[in-house]
Amino acid sequence: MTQIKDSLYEQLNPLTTVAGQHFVEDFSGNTLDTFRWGVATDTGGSVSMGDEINGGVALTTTTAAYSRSGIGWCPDHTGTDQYMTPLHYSQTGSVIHVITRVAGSTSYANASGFGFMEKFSDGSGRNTACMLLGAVAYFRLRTCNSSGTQTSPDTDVSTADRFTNHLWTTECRATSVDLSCNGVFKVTSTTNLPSSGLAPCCGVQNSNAGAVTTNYVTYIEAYNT
Amino acid sequence: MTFNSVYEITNNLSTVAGQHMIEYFSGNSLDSKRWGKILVGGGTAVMSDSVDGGLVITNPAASLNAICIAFNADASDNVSPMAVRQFSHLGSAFIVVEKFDTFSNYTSGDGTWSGFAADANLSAGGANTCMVGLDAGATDYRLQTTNGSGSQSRTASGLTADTNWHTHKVEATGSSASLTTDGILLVTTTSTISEGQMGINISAVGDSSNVAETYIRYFEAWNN
Repeated sequence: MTQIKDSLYEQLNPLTTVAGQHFVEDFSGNTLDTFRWGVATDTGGSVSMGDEINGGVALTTTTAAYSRSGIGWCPDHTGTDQYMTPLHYSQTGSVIHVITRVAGSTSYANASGFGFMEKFSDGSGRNTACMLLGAVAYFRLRTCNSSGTQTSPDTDVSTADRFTNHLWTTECRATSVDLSCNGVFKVTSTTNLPSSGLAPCCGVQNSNAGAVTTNYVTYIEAYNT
Repeated sequence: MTFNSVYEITNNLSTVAGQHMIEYFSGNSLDSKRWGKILVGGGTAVMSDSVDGGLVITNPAASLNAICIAFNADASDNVSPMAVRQFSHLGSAFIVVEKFDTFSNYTSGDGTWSGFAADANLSAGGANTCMVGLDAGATDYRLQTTNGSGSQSRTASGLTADTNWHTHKVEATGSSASLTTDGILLVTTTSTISEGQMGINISAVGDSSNVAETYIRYFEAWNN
């Protein structure tokens, strides 16, 4: 039986261990904690607290193509992607948990990422390890190296299930990145792995003009292993 | 077994918990609604852009350098007492993960101190403190206690200081204070024990000729 202890620290680590960087974000309150998070938007995208049960924070696009909404450890910005800072999490030994879902029932024509990134959005110069939700049949793991070369293996979780909350866990290891869903391992990537420190980031972008999409994020926890 | 709530991790439901806080020092910037800063002489307290970096408090090499963050609004000098003092001298504790990256540069001045204090104080002075740190010129970690009259003790732990990360746990009981580092109880003192309520103050005072940096990536405090 797990014992009650005086501190959260002692429940997670023996005092003989010097714990690495760790944070927990519940996304529950009047506004987003803008000391911790920067807001990234483009073409009318917006970020607000979700005013519904399990609403968390809502990342909402407009109907316009390339409308975008996201949060990360970047400066508040619109348009041109910005680098994250600080990069507290190790590309070779860290874990990030994200609980997220999509609102609405329209066909999904967007590209959304939830996990670790070096820069808002992935691509050249943007080391990444995250869960990817795109206009494809299954949720994916996305890894991206510093040159912008990507690997995106499918899980067996259908994107038709995007309307209910899932816990996505991305674990960066020395020679791989693993993605699990609701505690069950799904897929690994051993190529095009990130090679620099990383920071938490979540974002959604309309790939084409169409419907408004909202991604809700209710929990993020990250730590170095 | 898992817990239904964070509350139940540290308390039985039959227990009404006291004040408890956790600061991860991980995010885009320091939470300035929780922490106020006092910066003198060009010092800074910013997030460190490195893996496991946390917050870095830096003193440039110049005289009159002193920095602290505390439960107080930003100020230009010491505040006595600090605005919010929620932790009890009669039964409380904190755990801090920090490193003194340039501890050998603390050759003069008041060194660097983290923990409970009544004042937002650049040199960890004032009344009623219970802190861990490194005194100027000292070679080991020390436990600082200050009573309500301002009489202060800096008790040697015997553990040689270095530039590595360590986990320090400091407990205040009302009649004693103790320092446990990396799981080993190093020292207990009954000298000049805090006699009043305390907030949190993390200070660093450089000497006049060397840059001094302190990194901190976790702070948890609670009342028993």
